Amino acid sequence: MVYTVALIGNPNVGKSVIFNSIVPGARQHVGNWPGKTVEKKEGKCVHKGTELKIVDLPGTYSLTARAVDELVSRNYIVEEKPDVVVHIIDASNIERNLYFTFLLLELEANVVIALNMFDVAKEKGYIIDVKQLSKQLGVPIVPTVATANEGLDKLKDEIVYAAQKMCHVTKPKINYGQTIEDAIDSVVRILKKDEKLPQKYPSRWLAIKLLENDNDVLEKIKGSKYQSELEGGITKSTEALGDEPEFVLADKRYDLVSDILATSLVKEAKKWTITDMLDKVFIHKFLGIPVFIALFWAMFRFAYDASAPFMEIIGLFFESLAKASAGIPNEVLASFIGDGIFGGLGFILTFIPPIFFLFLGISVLEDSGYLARAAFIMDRIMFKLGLHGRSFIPMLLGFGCNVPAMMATRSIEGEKDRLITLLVNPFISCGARLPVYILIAGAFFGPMATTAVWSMYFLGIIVAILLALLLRKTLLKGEPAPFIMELPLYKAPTFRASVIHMWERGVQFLKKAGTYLLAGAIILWFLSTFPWGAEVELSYTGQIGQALAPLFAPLGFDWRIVASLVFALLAKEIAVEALGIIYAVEGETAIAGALVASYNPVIGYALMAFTLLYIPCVATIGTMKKESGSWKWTIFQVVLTLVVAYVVGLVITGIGTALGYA
Amino acid sequence: MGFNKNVGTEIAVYSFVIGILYAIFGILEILVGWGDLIGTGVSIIPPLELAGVNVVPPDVFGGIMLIIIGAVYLTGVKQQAKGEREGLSFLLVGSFLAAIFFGVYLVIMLANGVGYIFQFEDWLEWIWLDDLRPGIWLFLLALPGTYLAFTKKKWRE
Repeated sequence: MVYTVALIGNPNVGKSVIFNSIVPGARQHVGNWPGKTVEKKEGKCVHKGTELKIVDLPGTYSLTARAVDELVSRNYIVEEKPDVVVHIIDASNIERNLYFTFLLLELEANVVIALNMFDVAKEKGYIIDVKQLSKQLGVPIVPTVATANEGLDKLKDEIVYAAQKMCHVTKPKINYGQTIEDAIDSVVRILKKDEKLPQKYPSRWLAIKLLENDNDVLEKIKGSKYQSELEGGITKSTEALGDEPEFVLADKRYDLVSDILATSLVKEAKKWTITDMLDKVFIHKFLGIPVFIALFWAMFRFAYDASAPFMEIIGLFFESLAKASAGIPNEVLASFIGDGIFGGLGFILTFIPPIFFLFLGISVLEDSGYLARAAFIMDRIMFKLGLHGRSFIPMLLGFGCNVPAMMATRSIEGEKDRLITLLVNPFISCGARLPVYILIAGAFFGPMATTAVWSMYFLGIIVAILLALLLRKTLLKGEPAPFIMELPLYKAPTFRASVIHMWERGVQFLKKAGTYLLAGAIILWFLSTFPWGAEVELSYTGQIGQALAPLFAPLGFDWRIVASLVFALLAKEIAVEALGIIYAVEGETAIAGALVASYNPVIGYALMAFTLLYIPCVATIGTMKKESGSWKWTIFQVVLTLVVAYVVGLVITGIGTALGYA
Repeated sequence: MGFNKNVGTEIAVYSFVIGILYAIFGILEILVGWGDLIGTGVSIIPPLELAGVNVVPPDVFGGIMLIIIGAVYLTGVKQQAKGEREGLSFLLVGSFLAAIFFGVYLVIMLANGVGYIFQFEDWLEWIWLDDLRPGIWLFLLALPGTYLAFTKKKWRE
């Protein structure tokens, strides 16, 4: 028999680390960052002859129906009824984490607690009486240090015991006090009259959620013969409680947590830790943002300048291959291999070093726990502008790729907040845009190239914030929900972990190179060389570019740029590939030099900004449709990005020309 | 809670000197590099050379980053002088940022060395002293004091 085991808990408590440790071969992304897991992940393992199906649920702070990720986790437990629910608790933050335990006990789940980060709790001066805590909660508890693989075998033992109903701990009934219990009982009595509901869901949990006015549960009772009687019962019970039941119950849960911890937790005097010292500056009122800017600038300097000779090595390699292919007797085949494969695909591959170096930098910032601080300091600005601070987390994730970043918006409560974040996320510069920036900045800005690249990332953030503000004031009016985010402890990033994370992100580029970019190179070569023998300007690519070029003339873009931007809708890197092929077919090998001969720095900067701001790729369009569930908003986003890109490009061209840089 | 006040004054003086040095060299990088930024090529002050080597590179944004590091050091001076332990945070983070820039500039220097060894076109005239920026040697000045501040037991109460 296979037992199903769900892993659940607050964000950033080590769920993914435990999942990877107990599921052989699992490679879930792990980072010092809340909200990495937005979809449930599954794996299998065998422990002492017992087969277990492990399901990693998204990390959430609560189990309400307000955020998509909370609903995913809750529905899984309610509907799928896993044999065991492993609640992973951050032992160094036990008070808040235990609140969640009560939510799971209300669901009548078969809970096993992993008291993770036990070492950090000890460092903080926490002395936890695990046996006493287990007795009071009525669930088995195993202290673990997942990162050091400590306690995980014992945890698996307890999971198997619990799954086989051999649990050695007696489950006590949670008692919220006479008034609340009476209110719950009165609703339970009505619910039990229904033939279906008590079979499907735990009656006590349904009653609590109905009292809390949970929209999802209110939907569940619709159509019940006893709906009106239930509604009457809820109103009566709410009146008896004298306050909003949601608040009354939350208070009571916290009271119970305090009572339990009074006998099972001793805190030594708070120590002044390295995390305290670093946070004193990293989230400082005035220094926080300049330090954030400095760290990002250092990251781009590293990615751009340190990768330059390695780009040269790869570039020279493909250049020599392209030259060698000129000797192929068949003219069409020689052009295909030389211009299409080596000139196009080979050219884009020269950008592997900066992409990997940038991802290494992001991984170090993420693993250290700094990125969470970046979100925290940006929240100050965003909240002042009437925006949801939580929105900045998906924005930062967008530095890697916009698709998972848009999926990460599921953790945002409130449909309007989430929609705003989804709409502006494509303005955050993903890794795919980097080759375009490096090509253009390297050609036009010399020693200022790093700063030009770095400025694109900040332009993206600024445009995203301003548009979010505009949307908040116009189409999606409302007040932002308060932002609560736990700041993880700082950790010294290990070289191995950072390289693994760099590889996880960078390999996406390599996969893309072997699929989309290769296909793109073949198609682009065909469209740029046929009709065979014609000048590239008269090729199919030339015709497409020239048909649209008048629209972009005010920005200074000619048919080559326009054609490359059209093809880049598939993936942004294709813009570079397209320019590579067009110039290769024209007989140019030094593309940077050819760009300088054709355009000026103002057009170059406008092109970088346009590439940054128009819709990232078809995958993000698909993700927008999936996440918003609306074609209307998806089309709106496509149009919005195109309009913004065009307007910003026009502004850059206008200002640059007026200042004499053209 | 804090540390010995006399020691605090010593740490404050040290942080002040390092902070001021970072700020001065940051301003110099901006002044030397201003012409490159605005495209005229004419700097506010001429390039500062020592034995034919550029001591201060023309780098406006690099200069701004040095000023930020200097500001972090300087912000903690008052609290350090009072013997408050929070003041040490600024020395720690200032040196932490200085170390990051030191590391980045060092890696760039090594990468440029690779370009030079392979004799690539853009690196033919490169010499390692060109990359010996204030961000590198200022960190070497900041390191001993930071190390002592966090390791000398007699400094802490």
